[in-house]
Amino acid sequence: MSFSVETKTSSYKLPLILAIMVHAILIWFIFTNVELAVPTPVAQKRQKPVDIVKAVAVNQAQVEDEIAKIKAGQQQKQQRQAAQQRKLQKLAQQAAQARAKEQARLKQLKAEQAKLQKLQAQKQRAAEKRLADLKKRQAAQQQSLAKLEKQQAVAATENAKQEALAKQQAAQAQQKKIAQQEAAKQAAEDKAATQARAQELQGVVNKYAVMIKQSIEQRWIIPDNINKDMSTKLQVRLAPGGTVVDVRVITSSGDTRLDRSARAAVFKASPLPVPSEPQMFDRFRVLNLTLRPEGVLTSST
Amino acid sequence: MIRQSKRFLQRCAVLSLLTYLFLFSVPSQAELNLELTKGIDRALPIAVVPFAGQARDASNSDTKQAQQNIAATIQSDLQHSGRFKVTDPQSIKRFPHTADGINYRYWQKLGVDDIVVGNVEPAGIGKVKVSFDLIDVYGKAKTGPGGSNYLLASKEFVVKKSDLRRLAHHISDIVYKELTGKAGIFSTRVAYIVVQRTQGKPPQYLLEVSDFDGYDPHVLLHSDQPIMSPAWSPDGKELAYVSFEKKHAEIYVVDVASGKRRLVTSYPGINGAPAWSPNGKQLAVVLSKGGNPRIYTIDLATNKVTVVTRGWSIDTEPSWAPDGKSLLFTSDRGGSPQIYRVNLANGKIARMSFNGSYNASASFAPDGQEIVMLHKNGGLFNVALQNLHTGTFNLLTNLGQDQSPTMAPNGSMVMYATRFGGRGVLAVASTDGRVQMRLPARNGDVQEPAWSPFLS
Repeated sequence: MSFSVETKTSSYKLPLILAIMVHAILIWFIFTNVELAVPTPVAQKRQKPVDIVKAVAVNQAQVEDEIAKIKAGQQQKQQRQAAQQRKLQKLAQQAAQARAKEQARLKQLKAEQAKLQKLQAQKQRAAEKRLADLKKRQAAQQQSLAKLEKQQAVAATENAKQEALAKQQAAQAQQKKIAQQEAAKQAAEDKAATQARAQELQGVVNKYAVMIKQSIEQRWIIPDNINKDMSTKLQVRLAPGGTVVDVRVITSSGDTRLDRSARAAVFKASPLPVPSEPQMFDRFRVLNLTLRPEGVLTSST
Repeated sequence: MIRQSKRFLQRCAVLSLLTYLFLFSVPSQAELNLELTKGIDRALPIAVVPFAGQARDASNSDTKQAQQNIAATIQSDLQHSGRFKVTDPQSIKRFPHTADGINYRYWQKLGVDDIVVGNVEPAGIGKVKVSFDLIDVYGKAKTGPGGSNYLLASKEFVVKKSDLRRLAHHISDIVYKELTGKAGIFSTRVAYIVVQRTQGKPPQYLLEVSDFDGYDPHVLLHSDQPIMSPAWSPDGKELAYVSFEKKHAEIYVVDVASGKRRLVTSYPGINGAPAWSPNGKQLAVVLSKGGNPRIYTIDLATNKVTVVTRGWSIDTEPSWAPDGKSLLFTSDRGGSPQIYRVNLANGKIARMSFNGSYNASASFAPDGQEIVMLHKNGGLFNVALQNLHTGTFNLLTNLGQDQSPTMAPNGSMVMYATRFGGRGVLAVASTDGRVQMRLPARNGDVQEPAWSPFLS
């Protein structure tokens, strides 16, 4: 609708404007003839208007003549103008028509073009759509592929994981077994070592125990008139090297003579034979001695 | 990582197990337990430090002063008991006189178990104050709460100077009792016969009593006729003896303190070998009034005589068992002199000696477990000790001319007569065989010793 309105207004505009312009120019000529008698440098400068002015401005006489002529001619001119106007109008009409025609053609063209464009757009859209579809499909495909791959990957990793796990478990089991064996072996070795050490220690302890026993017995003067069933229990503390530091009567025999004889014997035997190795000696730091006068050493002199 | 941590855990487990074992097994092993069942049979080493206020060197024992030297007397007593090894006084370089001034290390290094220290100081006219301490030189060490048992005896006396030797014997008794568990015999006395032979004169017979070590002799009887077989009453106040003063044997009892005496038996023939019953109410004697010598008992209150042994053998030298229920005697009923025992209740007789062809003069040890006797072997007479339970038979002497063994009241020594330097002397031997000692010679032949009981 808007198209049609625009077209109607524009069809009268051009001839109207032309007519107004012509009238304006003519009026301007009339009122500016005198002043324009002296050419001005400015006019020289102006090329196009000069042409127009030259043709019109001559001299006063001429002007009056002209004016008369013009006045004469004005009628003509008016007539001409009217004719012209009519011609112009006609032209305008024709132009408008042509313009309308043209516009219609243009419109058609435009429409065609639009149509074409539309078609093209449609085509393009379709193509685009197809492309998009394709792309979409491809994407989808790729997606699914990726998904698949992913799944496969997941599956693979899962597999790998499980395998690894199984392997690990197997390895762990194996390790456990080995570790257990090692532990058992270690324990056995430790036990054997401990036993060996204990046996060695016990051997040393026994050796020195016998020596200590002999050392004290050889100095133990059994008191006269003593009950052979009595016994004295002493606790002896030794310093490294076997020096007797302290002797305590833990359980008296009931006869102080026996207690004293036992204590004196221990002191006399100081330093007692003990191993020099500190760890071994530790076993000899405290001795619990039971002295029971059951008999007399026959070898003593 | 896993492997390591696993191993670590296992190590930890093993360690903790070992620790557990260690913790629970070690405490029982930490202290070593030893059992000692044998010792040595040896004289106790002892030092008797010269008492302050007395001479340190008492080696010249003939002087009165030396005889009153307490340390020297104690040294002699202990040494001759056989139970002690007395340190040579010359090696003593320190002279403490109380327990306070003791350097224990010094005495331990000197090799003694105990020491006797003391002090003598004037206490008025003719009197002295004597104190002594008996110290265990190993007793000063820590022995737990109240561990001051190093001081085994500590006493103080005030005596006349003339009694110093007797006091020394008394101190010896205290020391001996403390260290051996038995009463000492150092205050006991001995009775014996001295025969003095002077050329051109009849022999003189003396009944004497002296300290057990022969010092301080006192003449109880003097006779130009034989005196024999002195025997102590159980209370030590009387002596029975055989006298020939009336040209035949008679048995008398004499009061030691007063010298008063009384006749007990005067039967025809032999009246000999009196022996007091443990309760002091009877005498066992040898009488030949029935023909051959036999054992009789006499009730001292009634003078009633009871025959104990019968037969045609010679029975002599009766000796009472400590329980008074049996007698030992010497008899030739087996062909040669041997020791027999007669049960006083039922008259049963058992032979006791089986070693050799001659055993005589037997007497019981105070515990009744042993008998001492004179044993002849190859012409040598020695003193022997026989254990009635184990049958062991040990010679205590080896001089070969020994006679008349008599046992000390604590059974630790035997005194006997022997010969030395051409005359009869007394000697003692410890019953453990360690020591033999001659008593100081008297002016004459000394015979037939009789050891007194404990004298209060």
